[in-house]
Amino acid sequence: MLDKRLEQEQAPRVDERLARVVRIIVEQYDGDVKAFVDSIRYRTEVNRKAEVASDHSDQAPLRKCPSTTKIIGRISSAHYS
Amino acid sequence: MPVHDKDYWENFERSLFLTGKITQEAAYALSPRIKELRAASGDPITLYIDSPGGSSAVAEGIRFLIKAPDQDGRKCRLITVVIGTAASAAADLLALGDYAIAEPQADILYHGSRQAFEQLLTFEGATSVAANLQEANERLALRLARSSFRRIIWRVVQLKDAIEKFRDGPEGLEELVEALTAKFTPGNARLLREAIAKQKSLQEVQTAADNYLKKRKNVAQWPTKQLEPELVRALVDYRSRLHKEDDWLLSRTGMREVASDFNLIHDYASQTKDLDAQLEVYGSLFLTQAQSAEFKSKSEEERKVYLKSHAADKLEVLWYFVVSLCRLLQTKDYQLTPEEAYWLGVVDEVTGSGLQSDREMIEMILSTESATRKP
Repeated sequence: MLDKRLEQEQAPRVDERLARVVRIIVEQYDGDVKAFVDSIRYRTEVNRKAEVASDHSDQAPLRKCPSTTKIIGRISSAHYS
Repeated sequence: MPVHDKDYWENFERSLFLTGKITQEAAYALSPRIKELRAASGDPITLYIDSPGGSSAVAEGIRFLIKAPDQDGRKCRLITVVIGTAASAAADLLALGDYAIAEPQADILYHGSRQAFEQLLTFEGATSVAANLQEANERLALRLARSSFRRIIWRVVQLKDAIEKFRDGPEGLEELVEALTAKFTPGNARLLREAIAKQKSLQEVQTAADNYLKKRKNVAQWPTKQLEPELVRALVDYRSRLHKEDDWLLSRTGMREVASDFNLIHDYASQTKDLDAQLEVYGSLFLTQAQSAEFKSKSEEERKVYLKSHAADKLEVLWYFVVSLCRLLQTKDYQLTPEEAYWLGVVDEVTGSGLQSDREMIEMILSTESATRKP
C-alpha cells in the first residue's frame, strides 16, 4: 500500500526560481512566454558567437592559462592535504 | 558566461541505474549506493531508468530512500532520466522526479495497476482485489497530477492563440486542449479528448455537491464528522437525479458510483492548499492583457487577492483537466514518445529537442543576472 507520507512529501513545492521567471515574463514580456524564450535564446546565441570570435583573437591563449593564484593554490593543496 | 544550475542537470558522478524489472531485489541492490551518495553530499541524485516496470510500492520505496530527510532534515533532489524504456511503475517514477528528462530514443508506457495471481480466486477475493487496484489507480493518478500540473501550465502557456482565449475565461479550456492535441498522434490525442469529457463530469459532480451543501446553514463551520454524511447525501441526490430515467439502485452499481464521487471530491478538497500556492506563482500567466496591466499596478498583498478573483477559476478547471488526464493514464495502455510525454507534463525536458524547459528559462535568468552584476 502506498504511504500517505510520500503523498504529502510529493505535494508541489513552490520553486522560487520559477516564480522569478514568471514575474519577468509578466512584467517585461506581457505574459508572452514564447517572446521571452525567443529573446533570451537570441541573446544567448549572440553572446556565444561573441565568445567564439574573441577566442580566436591574440589574447585567447592568455585567457585559457590558469591564473597564478590558482596554480599556487593547487601546489599548496597538494603539499598540505 | 552561461550559468549551469546543478538542480536541473543529470550528473553521472552522482547517479544510479534502475534497469530491468523493479523488484525488491533491485531495491536491495541500489540501497547501499543511495546511502553512500546521500552521505557524500546533499547535491541532487540522478536516477537513470530503463525498466519495463514492476512493483509500484518498491518504486516508491526507492524514491523515498533517495529523497527522505536525513538526521539534519536535509532532503535530496531527484533527477530522473529515461534512457530506454520507462513503463508502468517506472513511468510513474520518471514523472515523479523533481526534474524529469527524456532522451530522444526513449519509450514511455502507461497502464493501470495490475496484479498477478498464482492461486484460484474467490468472488470475495476478486472483489477486494478490484477495489484495491482501483484505489491504487486513483492514488497514483493524483500523485501524477500533482507533479504534472506545473509542467502542464508551462506547456499550455506556449499555445499562443488558444491561451489568449483561455485567459478570457475557463470556458476556453476546450479550445486550449484541442490546440494541445495537435502535438499528439491520433491515438494519443484521443486521451486528451476523453480527459476533457471526464473533466466536465468531474466539475458537474463538484458543482452539484456545492449547490446541495449551500442550502444548509453555516456549512463552512461544520465539523468534518457532520459534513461528510451530508456530502454523501448530496451525491446520492445527484446520482439519482442523473439516472432518473434508468433502473438505478444503490444496491446495484449506485453505491460504487457514489463512493467514487465521494473519494474524488475528498481528494480534490485536499489539494486546494496546493492550488493556492500554484495560483500565487503561476496565476499571473492566466490574466488577459487588460487584467495584467491592472495587476501590475497593485501592491504584493493586493496582487494575491486579485489573482484569487481573476485567475483561480481558470487554474481550477485546468487542475480538473490534469486530474482527469492522469486518471485515464492509469486505466488504459498508452505509449508515448518523449515529445508527447513532454506535452503531457510527464517530463520536463527532452534532450536535443529544442523544446523549452525549466532549466533553460532558469539558467537564462541566472546568466542575465550574473552578467548585470559584473563591473
